[in-house]
Amino acid sequence: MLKPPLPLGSLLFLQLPLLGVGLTPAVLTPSGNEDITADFFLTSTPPGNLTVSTPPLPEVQCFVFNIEYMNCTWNSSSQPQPTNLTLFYWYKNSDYDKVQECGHYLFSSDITSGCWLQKEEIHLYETFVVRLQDPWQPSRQATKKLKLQDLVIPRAPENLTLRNLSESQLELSWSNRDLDHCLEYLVQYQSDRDHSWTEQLVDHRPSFTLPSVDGQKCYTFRVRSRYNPLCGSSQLWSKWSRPIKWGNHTSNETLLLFALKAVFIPLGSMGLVISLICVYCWLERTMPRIPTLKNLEDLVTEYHGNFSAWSGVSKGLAESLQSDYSERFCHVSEIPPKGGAPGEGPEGSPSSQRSPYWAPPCYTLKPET
Amino acid sequence: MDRIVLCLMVIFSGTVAHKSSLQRPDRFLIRMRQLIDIVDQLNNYVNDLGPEFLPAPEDVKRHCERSAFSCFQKVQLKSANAGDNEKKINVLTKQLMRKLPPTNAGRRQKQRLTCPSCDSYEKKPPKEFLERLKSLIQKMIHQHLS
Repeated sequence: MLKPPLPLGSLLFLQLPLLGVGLTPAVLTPSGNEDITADFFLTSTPPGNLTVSTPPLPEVQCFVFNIEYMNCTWNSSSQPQPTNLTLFYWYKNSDYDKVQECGHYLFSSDITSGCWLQKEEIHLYETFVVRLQDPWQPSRQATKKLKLQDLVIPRAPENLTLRNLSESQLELSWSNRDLDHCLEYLVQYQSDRDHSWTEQLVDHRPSFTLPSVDGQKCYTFRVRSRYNPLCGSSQLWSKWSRPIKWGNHTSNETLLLFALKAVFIPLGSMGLVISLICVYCWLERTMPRIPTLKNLEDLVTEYHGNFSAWSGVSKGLAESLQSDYSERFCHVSEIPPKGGAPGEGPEGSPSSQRSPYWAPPCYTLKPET
Repeated sequence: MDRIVLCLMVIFSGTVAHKSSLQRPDRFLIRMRQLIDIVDQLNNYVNDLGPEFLPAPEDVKRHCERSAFSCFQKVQLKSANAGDNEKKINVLTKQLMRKLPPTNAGRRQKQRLTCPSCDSYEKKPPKEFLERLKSLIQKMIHQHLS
């Protein structure tokens, strides 16, 4: 049984448009324009193969730290597939124009994400060319030209010192270990009563004068530096220096002392007063007031013998002092003298002396002999 | 007594001379700082400058910085439009063309090997011309301060 012939003609016909799909290679000519970045290159593909678009390479950023070392980094996590990209560098039109691979890679999650270059490999005023490349696809590369003098980040200023030039004039000075003549500075200061910093740009001289200071305030100063404009055009500031304070002792209170004086003492005093008032009210309620004794004449003339009204004892207290029990009257009589029948008295026999109601036994008074 | 007075005068003269040398202004550095300002001001009028390409040295070899700077000075920056900006550009260009004060390094450069001619340098539009000029000035300042 014969096999049907393969449609070769149709296959060839289909491949014709595919040959035109592959883009011509983009040739990078060093035109001298700075910061040229080519994201990716596509090369022409052999017939019969489909073109595969390659993802763009991440952008490389380089910073020179105090002209001591340089870091060139890229975002390795932006890659669709984790790839250990390689970095090459050289200096254009220079004695150091030999292409070199990075000798000290930086890693992020075990993937290359940067390159560390030491001081001897940094040449500021020569065009630095850096190329990031995919080692598995050499055609996938990106090249960038940089002016390293515009990428310097200096160290923060140190040794801030203050001195009085006069009674109200203050001078702040500091030092930079290196690059001092090439730096400009930004000074910020604020008093303890200000809500924001006041700033002043200072040229390469490492000093700043505040013409008038208030002796009652506490001032804080800090400084940062930048490699601009004398020796470079960097827009990157250093970190702030350690702040330095100036002011008298009374205004130099710590936050704790201030909280103690401004908050705790008034609150404590108010609490003490309120508690004393509460104790007084409680005592007034539970313990009776000692009555005030007025003029005795008033007892007779004004109050007509009403002792409680005169003494000022409250009605409730007077009622409370009244007895709430009753006693039987105790009839006391004298024992009749001797001579009479025993038991007889001037008023008859004892049996006849029995009163209508029986009086409880009580004490009797003996007659006098 | 005379000898004592003479010794004191010598010591005093030496002290004054030493102090005066310390206080002598760095004319070269002052001039270079002025040039930085001039270039920054010219950048404000870069859109008014002519479109023609100008020789703009870059990556200048060591000890050829003054030669390269003179190539920048030889260029006649002109305004493409007449008006107030043209006068300001002319003033700034004249300030750019003033001769640099000498330095010890500058004296040594005359004895070095010849530097490339101005025509050998790449030509660039005015914006990049000014950027490369500023970079060269910064390099010269850094070398002077080092």
